[in-house]
Amino acid sequence: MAIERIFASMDIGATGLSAQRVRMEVIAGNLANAETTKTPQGGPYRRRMVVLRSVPPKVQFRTVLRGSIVALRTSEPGHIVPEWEREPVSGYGRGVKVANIAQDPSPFRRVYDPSHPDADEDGYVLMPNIRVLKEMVDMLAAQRAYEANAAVVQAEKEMARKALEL
Amino acid sequence: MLDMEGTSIPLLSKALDAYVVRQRVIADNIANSETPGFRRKEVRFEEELRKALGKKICGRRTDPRHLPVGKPGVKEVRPKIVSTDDPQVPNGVNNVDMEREMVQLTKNYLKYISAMEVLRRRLRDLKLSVEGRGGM
Repeated sequence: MAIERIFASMDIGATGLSAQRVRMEVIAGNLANAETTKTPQGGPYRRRMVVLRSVPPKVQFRTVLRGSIVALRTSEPGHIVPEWEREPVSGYGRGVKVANIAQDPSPFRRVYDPSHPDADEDGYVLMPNIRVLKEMVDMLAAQRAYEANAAVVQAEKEMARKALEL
Repeated sequence: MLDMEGTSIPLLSKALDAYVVRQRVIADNIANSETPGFRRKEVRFEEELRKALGKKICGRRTDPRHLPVGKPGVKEVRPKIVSTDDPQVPNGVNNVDMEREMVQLTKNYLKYISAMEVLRRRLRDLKLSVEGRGGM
């Protein structure tokens, strides 16, 4: 087993840690701009959100080849199963990545505040489409997910240490 | 050469390999706990091993080109990674249940640590029998 493969689940845990950290930063940006009515692009601040994608298993030549081999049918328990069909075809996924930081297309909030410098002629101000409560809940979820990934890294560390004691 | 076939060492290393694969799969499930559309995976190993241990007749393979006859032996048992179609859990984005994954992670970690400890003792005993109790 190659040395980098021993620590594969540490790497997977690390992808989770960094994805959750990015998510946390995006939430922090949303909270900081919850009342921002004017941005360089014009208009109020639009809520940002992270788009997460899983990293698929490495596709090996072996796997592709095996997929294209015509499988022999085993209709009886006594039939011989070729060895290549016993091996697992799918590998393990390699964690998660932030595919994109998207903008929330939902409409802005309209708040009546005639004294506000950004108010329109009717006295309404367009406020960011951010709900502070939702951001706080998201923040707790991100924190919890971060801790879970940290636990994965911790467990892997202990396992590697145990293996070195042999 | 020292014959390890009859000892528990090949079985232990088989199990350790499977636990390492399972650890990765659980790590992947946890990393993707918030990924929309992700399907959790799990590793099937113990039941396959049990089947192989309870086998009756198995053709011995003395050459890698031989076809396996009968049920797979312990040597042929490999951890299987399967996607599961569990119903979605209330997080609404996928079927990863964080509590369940954390319990699986802990269980798998303890299995790995115990197997590693047994292996360590076996190797220590082996070393003792090879080297003797010292004094030379």
